[in-house]
Amino acid sequence: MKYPLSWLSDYVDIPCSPEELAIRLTAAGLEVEGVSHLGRELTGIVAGRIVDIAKHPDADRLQITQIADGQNTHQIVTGAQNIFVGAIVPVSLPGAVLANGLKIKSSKLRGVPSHGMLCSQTELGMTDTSEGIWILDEKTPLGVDMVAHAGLRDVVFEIGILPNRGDCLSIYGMAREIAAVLKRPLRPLESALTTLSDLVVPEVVLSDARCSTYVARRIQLPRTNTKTPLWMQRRLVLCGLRSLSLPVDITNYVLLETGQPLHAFDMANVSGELHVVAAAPGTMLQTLDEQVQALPPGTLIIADDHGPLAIAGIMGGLGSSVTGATSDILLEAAIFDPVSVRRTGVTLGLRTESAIRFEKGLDFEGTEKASDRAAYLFVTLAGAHVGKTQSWQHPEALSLARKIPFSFEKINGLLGTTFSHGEMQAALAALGIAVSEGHASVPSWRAHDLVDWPCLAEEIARLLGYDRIPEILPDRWVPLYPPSPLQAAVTDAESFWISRGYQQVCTFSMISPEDFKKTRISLPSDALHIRNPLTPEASVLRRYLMPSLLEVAGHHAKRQVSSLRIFEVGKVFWLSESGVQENQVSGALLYGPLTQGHTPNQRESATWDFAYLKGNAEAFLRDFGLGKVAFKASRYPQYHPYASADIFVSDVLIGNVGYLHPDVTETYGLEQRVGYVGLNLTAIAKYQEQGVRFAPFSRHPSTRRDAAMLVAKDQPYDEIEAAIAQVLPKEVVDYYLFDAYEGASLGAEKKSFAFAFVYQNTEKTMSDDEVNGIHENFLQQLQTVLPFGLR
Amino acid sequence: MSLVDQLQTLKNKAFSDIQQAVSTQALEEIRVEFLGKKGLLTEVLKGMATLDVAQRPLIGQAANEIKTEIQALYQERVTGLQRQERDARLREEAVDVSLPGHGTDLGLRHPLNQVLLEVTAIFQNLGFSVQEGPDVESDYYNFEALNIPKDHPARDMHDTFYLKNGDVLRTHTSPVQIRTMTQQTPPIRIIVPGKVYRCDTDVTHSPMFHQVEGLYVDKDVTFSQLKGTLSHFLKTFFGKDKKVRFRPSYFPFTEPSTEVDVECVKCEGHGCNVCKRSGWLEILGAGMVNRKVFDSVGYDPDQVTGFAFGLGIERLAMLKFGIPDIRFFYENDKRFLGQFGCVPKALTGEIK
Repeated sequence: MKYPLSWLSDYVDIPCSPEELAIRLTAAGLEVEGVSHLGRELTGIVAGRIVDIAKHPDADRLQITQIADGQNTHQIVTGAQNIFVGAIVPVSLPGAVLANGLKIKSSKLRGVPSHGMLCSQTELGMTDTSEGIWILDEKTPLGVDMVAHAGLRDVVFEIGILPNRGDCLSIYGMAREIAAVLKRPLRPLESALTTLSDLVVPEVVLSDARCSTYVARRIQLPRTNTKTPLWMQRRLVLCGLRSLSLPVDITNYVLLETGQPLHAFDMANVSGELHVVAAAPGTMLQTLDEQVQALPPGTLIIADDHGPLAIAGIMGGLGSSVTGATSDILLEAAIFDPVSVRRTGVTLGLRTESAIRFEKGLDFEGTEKASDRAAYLFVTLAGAHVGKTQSWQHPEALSLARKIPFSFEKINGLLGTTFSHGEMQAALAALGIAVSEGHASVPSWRAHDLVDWPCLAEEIARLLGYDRIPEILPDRWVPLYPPSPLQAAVTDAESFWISRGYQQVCTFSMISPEDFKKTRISLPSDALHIRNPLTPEASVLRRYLMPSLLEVAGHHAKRQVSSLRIFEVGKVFWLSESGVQENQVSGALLYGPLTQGHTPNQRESATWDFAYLKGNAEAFLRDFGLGKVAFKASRYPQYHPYASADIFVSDVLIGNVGYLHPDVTETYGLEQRVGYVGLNLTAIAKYQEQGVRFAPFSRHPSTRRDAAMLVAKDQPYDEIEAAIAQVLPKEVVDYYLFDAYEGASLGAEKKSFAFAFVYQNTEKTMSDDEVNGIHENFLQQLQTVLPFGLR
Repeated sequence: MSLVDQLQTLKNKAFSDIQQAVSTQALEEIRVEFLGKKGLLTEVLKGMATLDVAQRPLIGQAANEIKTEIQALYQERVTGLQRQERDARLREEAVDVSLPGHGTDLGLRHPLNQVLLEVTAIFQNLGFSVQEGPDVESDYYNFEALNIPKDHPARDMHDTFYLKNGDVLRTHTSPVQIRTMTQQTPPIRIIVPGKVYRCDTDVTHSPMFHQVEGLYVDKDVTFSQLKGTLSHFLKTFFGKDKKVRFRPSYFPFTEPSTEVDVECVKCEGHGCNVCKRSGWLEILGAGMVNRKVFDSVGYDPDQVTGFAFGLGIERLAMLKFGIPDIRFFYENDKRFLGQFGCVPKALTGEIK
C-alpha cells in the first residue's frame, strides 16, 4: 500500500528523514519497497485568472494571455487550447521550478514577450500525462501557493504489508505502527459530531452468521454535487484511487484512513428492510463496474425488499449506488467473514480494496469509529445532517479471544535472549498490548494475528530489534544419517555420465501433450495433467525424460551445434490406483562425433555406434553392481526398429538403449543419428547388489588360445555365448570376442566371430600341451552344441 | 710377425673398427668378428701351440688384456650408440605441442546442481542430514499441515499449480518437514533439496525452480541458534566479510518469522540494479516452527521447539555467477552450461 507522509503526519510526528523512517520500518517488519519524493523541485506555482486571450500575430498555434494573480497581471504566451477567459489555472512565473526541474524564465515566443507558463497536471508532477492546462475550481484564491494548496509536495512510501498485518492496510494503522517504532504519541482521529439528527435507518436483519456486525447511519446532504476538496482528491490519487464524487470519495478516504471498508447506498433506491443473507440460486446483480454478476448460491449479499443491493464486503450494486447527485445516504460499516469474502472475491475475480481488507480480518471494534469519521467529513465538507448509528450483532458470530498466555521467561527462552522484563513490557505497551500475571491482552485490531505467545515474542523482537538477538550455533550433536539408496543412486548416476563426458541439463517436469505424439506414443491415460498450466507446452507431467532431452538437442541442432552429449537425472510421474507415483530416471542422449579430431586416427576414434551406447549402459549397470542383465530387441516405437534394446534384470524392464527412430528425431529438427540410453534408477536401486565378497584369483601365468568361428550370417551372438557357457572348461578364466567380421572372402551367407580364451590354473602353471588338449576338446564339444566351421 | 705383434695389430684394428662403427648392429658384427667363438682373436691364439711352454702364459695374459680392452671399448660404444639411436627415434616422434588437444569435451554439472550440492554440503557439515520428498503433494502436506488452511490469504503468496486429480505440485519444500516429523521423533536436523513449482514466469521467476529447506527440532532450540546457523551458511557461501541482516517477516508455519538479507554481492551495499538500490539481497525465509505445525504432527509444543528455513537455489546461482535471467538455466544452451566448470569450494575443503 502507498502511504503519503503528509497523511501519516496528521496522526504522528515524524521527526526523522523519510529515508531513516524507511530503514526503521523495514527493520520492524514493514518492508518499505519505495520512497518517492513528489514535487520536491516545485516552487513558485500560483493560481491565476485568465483575464484576456488574444491571437499571436505570427503563430497560429499560440495565444497571448493576460493572467491576474490578485496583485499583478502577467503576459504569458501559451500553446494550450483548453483555456478560456475567466478560468483559474496554475501559473509558473519567472523563477518558478516545474516538477521536472525546469526553471521558468521570461522569454520571447515568436517575438512576443512571455513572463511565465500555464501549467498542466503533468508539469506539476501529479500525473504522467494530461490533456491541456489544469483548470482549477472557480473558488480557488488568486495568488495562492499551489504547492501547499493542492498538496503537490509530498513523500509517498510504498510498503509491502504481510498477510497477517491487515491492521496496517490503513493510514491510521501505519501511523500507529510508526508511533510504536519511533516511540511517539499517536493522535486520535478527528470525528467529534456535535449535533445528530433524527434520521431513521431501515431495519437490518442479520440472517447469516458471516456478518457479525452491521452498523448503519443516515446522512443527508443539503446540496448535491459538492466538489471534493483538492487535498482529499490529491490523497486519494497518491494512494492509487480516483476521485469520483464527494460521497464516494469520503467512503474511500475513510477506508484508506481507517482500513474499515464503508459502503454508501442511495436511500432513494433502498426500500423496506435490509437483509444480510446468502444469495439464492440464480441471483443476479449489476455491480458498480457495470458488470452483471451471476452470484454463486450462498454468496453473502445485502438485499432490500426488491432484491440484492450489494455483494457483502466486495462491491455494491449499480442501482443503489451513490453519485454526486445523491442527497440521502445510507452508510454501512460492517464486519463480514474473511473466508467468505475471500472465496467470493476469488470466484468472481473481484479483488477490490474492500475485499482485500475484509479477507485479512478487520478491527472488530472499528465499525463505529469509521462511521463517525465519515460522518464528521460529511459534516465538515458538505454541511451534512447525520443521524445516529444503529448497530446489529449476529448472536452466533464468533468473537476472537483477546487474552493469550504470556511469560517473559518463555519468550527469552524461545528467542535465546536476555531482554529485561521492563523493555519487553514497554515494547508491548507501545503496540497496545497489556501484560499481566501469566497472560497478555491483545488490542482489537490485532486479535486476528496475535493468537499465541510466540506471536508476542515476534512483536518484542521486532521492536527491540532482531539485531539484538545473539548468533550462536546449535551445540547439541544430532547424528547424520546416510543417504537413501535412491538418493545415492541419483548422485552416482550423475557422476557416471559426467565422467563419460556428458553435460548435465536441467529441464521442466512439465511437458506438452504434443511431446507424446512427437515421440510416437499415444498420450497415456495415467498421465497427470495440470489444471491451470501457464502454457499448453508445459501442461502435463512428464512420463519419461526423452522429450525433454530431445527438446534440448533440437535447440542445439537449430544453432549449428554439430555434436552433443547430454544427460539428466530427474523424476517422471504417473497416476496409479494407489495414487501418484514418482520414479527417478536417468536419460542420456548424444549425436555427432564424440570429439573434434584433426587427424584421421582421431576422427576414427570419435565415432560411435550401437555397441558404444550399449557399452555405456553396461558400464553404468556394472557401476551399480548389476551383473546379470539381458538386452533384448526393443519393442518401443520411439526407438530404431532394428538397432535398439530393452534392458532387463530378472525379467524386470529397467531401461532402453539404442538409436532413436528417425521419425522421432526429425520432429525435433535433428537430421543425424541420435543415440539414447534411458535407465530407471528407482528400479535399479532396488536390484542393486548389496555387499561385495572377495573372490580369489590365480597367481600362475595364463595362456591364451584363439578360435575364429564361421557361422551363418543371421546367427545371433547371444546363442553362441549360451553355447560356450554350456561346455566351457573350468580352466578358462575369461573369454571375449575380439573380432566380428563379415566380408566377401567368407561368402554372402557367413560371418566370423573370433574369440580369445584365457586358460589358467589356480594351482600350477599349465603346459602348452595341457592347454592345447583342453582347448581342442572344448572346441569339439562346442561344435556338437552349435555347429560352426573353424577358420 | 710374432704373436705379440699380431695381437697388437688385431687390437689396433678392432679399436679403429669399433670407433668407426655407426650403428649398434655394425658394432655387434665387429664384436663377433674379433671376439666371437670363431673370431680373429681365437684365430690368433691358435698360433700359441707353436710357442714355448714358458711363453704361453705371457701371451695368454696379453691376449686376455686385449680382449678386456676391446670389450670395454665395445661396451662404451654400444651404450653411446644406443643412446644416439633412441634419441633419433624420439626425434622422429616430435609433435607440435601447440596443435589442439583431442577429447577436450567435458561433462559438467549443471550450475544449479553445483550450487545445490554446495549448499547441501555446508549444512551437512553442520550436522543436517539430507531428506527428500515427492514433487506431487496433497493439499494437506503442502498447506493445511503447515498452518495454511483453505481460503487463508497466505495462499496468495503461492501461485499454485493444481493437478486434475486434486493434488498440487508442491509450492515449497516445506511439506517434507511434515513428512519427516510424522515419521521420526526429535531430535531432527534435516536439509531438503528439491524442485518446487509456482505458476509465475519472468526474468527472476520460473514455473519450476529449486529450494533447499532446513529443519531443526529439539529441546530448547532458539531463534539465536537460527541466526547463528544461517549467518554461518551465508558467510560460508558469500564470504565471511559480507554483512547479514535479519528482518521480521511472516510465514504461517513459523513464529517468529524472519527474512534474511545479505549485503549486495555487486555493489557491496551501496545500491545497484541487482539489489534494486537497497544494498541488500533477500536470500532466505526462516523462523521458529509454529506451534500449530507441531500440533499437526503430534508433537507436544511445550516439549520441543525448532527452527525452519528455506532458500532458492536459482537466486543463489544467479548471484554467484552473475546470471541476469533465470531462463538461462532451463534453456540448457551448451554455450551457457559450458561456462560452469569449477568444483564448488565447499566440496574441496577450501576455507574462504
